Amino acid sequence: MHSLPTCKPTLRLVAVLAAGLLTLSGCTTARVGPPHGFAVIEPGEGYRFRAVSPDGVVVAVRREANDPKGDLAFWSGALDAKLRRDGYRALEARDVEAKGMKGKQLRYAIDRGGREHSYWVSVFVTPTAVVTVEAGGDHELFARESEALLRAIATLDLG
Amino acid sequence: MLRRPLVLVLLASTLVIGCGAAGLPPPSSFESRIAMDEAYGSRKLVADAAPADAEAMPVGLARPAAPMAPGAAPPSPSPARPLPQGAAAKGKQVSSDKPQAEEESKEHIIIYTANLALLVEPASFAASIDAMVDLSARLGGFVARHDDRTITLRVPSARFRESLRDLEKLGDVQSRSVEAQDVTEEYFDLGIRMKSLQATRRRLEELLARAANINDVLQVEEQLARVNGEVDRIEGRMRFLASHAALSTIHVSLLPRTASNLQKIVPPPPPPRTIPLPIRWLSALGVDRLLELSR
Repeated sequence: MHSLPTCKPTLRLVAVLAAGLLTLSGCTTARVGPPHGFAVIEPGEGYRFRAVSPDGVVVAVRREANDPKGDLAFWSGALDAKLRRDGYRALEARDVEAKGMKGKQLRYAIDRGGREHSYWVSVFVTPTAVVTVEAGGDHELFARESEALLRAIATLDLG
Repeated sequence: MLRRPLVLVLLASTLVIGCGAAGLPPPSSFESRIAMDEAYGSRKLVADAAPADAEAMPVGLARPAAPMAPGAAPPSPSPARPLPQGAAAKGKQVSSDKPQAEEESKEHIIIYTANLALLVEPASFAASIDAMVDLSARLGGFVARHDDRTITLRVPSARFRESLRDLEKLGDVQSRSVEAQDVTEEYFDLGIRMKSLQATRRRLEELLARAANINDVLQVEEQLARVNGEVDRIEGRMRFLASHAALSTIHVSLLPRTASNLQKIVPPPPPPRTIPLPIRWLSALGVDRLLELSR
């Protein structure tokens, strides 16, 4: 008579610990479907996902702990205050949605090297995480990609 | 045989023109003055809770429930296409049984006019006027008129705010006012009347082709001339509205900068004091870090 294979107790313990560590470190997915014509690149420091267009428009996703614990109004307000202090000109704030999750999209302009740049940051808040989708680039190049970027933001996947 | 339809059409056309003779609707259903500050609140006039494509709207042609607006083509000033794209269809809807819902969905046609008074060194008046001429050309506009101390610029509505900001850099702002005139109702009413007149004109032309005697011909031609006159008048008004919505008007007056009038300028209050939150990752936000692909 055959018995079902069983894991050794040590292996089982390692698996449980690994799963626990992954959960504690918040190491879960946070990415968007790359916009049409963009290439996915190494996320780099602080980002979970990054993609770039051939001429340098970038979209990137960041996932941080919801600490201090705040709601969407708190985090969108905190981001807005910070960016305005840094000299960003606020253009618009609009409600956005990604896979049923409500978020806020803040749009700004800023001069860099004598050229106007566009910068959007869309923020989504869960009980444990704050997820931002940043998109930016030279205004002229960015304007061409804005529709594709909007579609990409709507695909945000938090795993 | 032709008499009865002829009399009916003539009666109808007289009524249509009669309605027209009552004059155009009031020039605006809504006028307001708006402060052009940088805060979101200032844009609520035309754009809060904008739909996904609101970004593509020019300042002069904004959707009703949406704040600001750079992008879609303003209504064409061409008499051949007196209504903006889709506007003809919307005009039809307005005349249907559910006008309120339809009106909510139609685009707003807004005419922006700004008045700006700048304090400038008297010796720099000419240079300032030259700079404004250059500025209007750079922004895709033109100079409507100017003299030694005043200038009127027409700039694309999508670049209205940018134009004001750039103009303000040319001197010390002593006063500034911006007026937004919503001409949506008038524009769509004109469109509806235009369609009605065009239908009348077609019927008159058919009658003219079938006229049996000189008396009928003369009567029909008389009515036709009146209808054509009214069509031309409406076309002209629609073209005027469309062009003023597509191009905003900025009147600038230059005043000599003297010690006495400089004292009148009250400096704006400093922006509200906000305290940076002790959240490290917030400092990593921004376009600089985002575009630094090597990190």
